[in-house]
Amino acid sequence: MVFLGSLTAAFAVIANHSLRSWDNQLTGRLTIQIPPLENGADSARLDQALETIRGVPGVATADVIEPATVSALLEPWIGTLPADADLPMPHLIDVAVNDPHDFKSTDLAEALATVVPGASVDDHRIFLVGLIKLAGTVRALAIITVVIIGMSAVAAVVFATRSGLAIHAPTIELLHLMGAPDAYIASLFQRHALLLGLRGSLLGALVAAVALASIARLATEIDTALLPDLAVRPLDVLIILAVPVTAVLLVMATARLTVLRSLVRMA
Amino acid sequence: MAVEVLRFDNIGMRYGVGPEILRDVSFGLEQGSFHFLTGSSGAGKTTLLKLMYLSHRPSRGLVHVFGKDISVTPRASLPALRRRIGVVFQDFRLLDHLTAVQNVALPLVVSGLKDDKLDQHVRELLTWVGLADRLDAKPSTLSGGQQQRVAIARAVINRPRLLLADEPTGNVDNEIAVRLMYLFEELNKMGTTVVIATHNDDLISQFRHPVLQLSSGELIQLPPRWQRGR
Ligand SMILES: Nc1ncnc2c1ncn2[C@@H]1O[C@H](COP(=O)(O)OP(=O)(O)OP(=O)(O)O)[C@@H](O)[C@H]1O
Ligand SMILES: [Mg+2]
Repeated sequence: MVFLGSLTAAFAVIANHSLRSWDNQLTGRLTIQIPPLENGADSARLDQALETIRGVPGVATADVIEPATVSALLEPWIGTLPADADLPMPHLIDVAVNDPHDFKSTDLAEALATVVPGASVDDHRIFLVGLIKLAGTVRALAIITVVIIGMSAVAAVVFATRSGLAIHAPTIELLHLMGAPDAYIASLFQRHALLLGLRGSLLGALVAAVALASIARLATEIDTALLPDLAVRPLDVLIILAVPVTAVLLVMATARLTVLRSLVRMA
Repeated sequence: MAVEVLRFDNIGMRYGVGPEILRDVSFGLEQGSFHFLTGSSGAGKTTLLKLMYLSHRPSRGLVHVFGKDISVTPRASLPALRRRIGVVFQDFRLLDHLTAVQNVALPLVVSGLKDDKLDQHVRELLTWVGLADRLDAKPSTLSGGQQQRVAIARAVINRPRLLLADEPTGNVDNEIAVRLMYLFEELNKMGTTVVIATHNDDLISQFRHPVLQLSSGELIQLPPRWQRGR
């Protein structure tokens, strides 16, 4: 139970991180491509485009990316260009928007379409928004799973502790008849449960840690930029460690309450 | 009048909604007295003892233990009373995961008295009841008679003010039975009030203590004169 609980907690933590990091990447940058014209009357068109873009509500800045930078960006694909090459290069405009969550790139495209036909708007955000939604769903699922596993873990721990105590019923009754106070007997079995719970929890946590470490290793080998950030932070370790600790506390509380309940039934 | 360690007034007892096992039982035990409790099997001897060692509460009537009315004694005060009562259960109730020595020492542990000197005392007592070579044996490896002697040692280790023994000699030969009776008498001489439930008429006639007889749930306390005449 501790094993499952720890793993699920870990996945929830990871989904949470992915969501946050993708969300941060949603910085709100768009790139606009303006195809070059044959007659070289580009600069007027560029100015017009910039003016239009800056006029769209929500746009913070819009700047032309220098042709030299564009060449540098293209270099890996088409090689170094001769200085006097007269290739028709597309003009790129870098646009920053104020609120990436609110901004609709279609507004920008519409505004541009009438002024500069052929301009295209690259919105990286569309892809990211999809991922963020996915991560949100994964996180919700993870949380639901954690809750469900948590509840069944609680039920399992309570049940196991209680049936474990059932075999000690004669001992409990004997101590009671010998004049041991209820609290004394309860703490005796609470301590007993602590030892048992610690053993089980440590084992479960250890196996979970090994499993998590191997998953993290595999993930770094795959190493795609989009894979969730599996690096586990100190705070996450605490969250994941909370599972076995909670389990032990639960075992102890169950033992105590079960013993006290059985004692109260005695005269 | 001598101090009464135990007093039953018009006790009635039934288990759940079953028939009444004890009816109108009234008697008192004076401090330092020694009684046998007899009656045919199923007469209610164990049930009567359960009421005495505060395992059960009567369905009706009043129980006084050490002068305290149990019906109005707060639950939290009962353990202290129970610690002054030694019980030899008919079914022994030894803890199987403990050795003979540990079982006998249990009342000391519960009272918070356990120490090395008392440990020595535990070993001596077990030796005295003939278990010198089985001190560290687990109960499951002991014979019925040996388990019974461990149970007796456990009941007396604390020098209880009241000793209740349910068939304490049922599983041992007569020689050991007599030896155990001497142990009870020794305790009795030091002030412990003793009640021994038994079917063993030889023992009753040999040791000549007053007899409480249960007959179909009712108590007949036979007059000492009648007993001497047997
Ligand atoms: N826990 C119980 N629930 C219901 N009935 C019980 C219970 N214990 C004993 N009885 C009934 O109470 C009656 C008296 O039982 P008890 O054990 O007191 O007899 P006893 O005199 O000790 O007999 P024995 O000599 O065989 O030990 C019996 O009819 C028995 O069936
Ligand atoms: Mg009996």
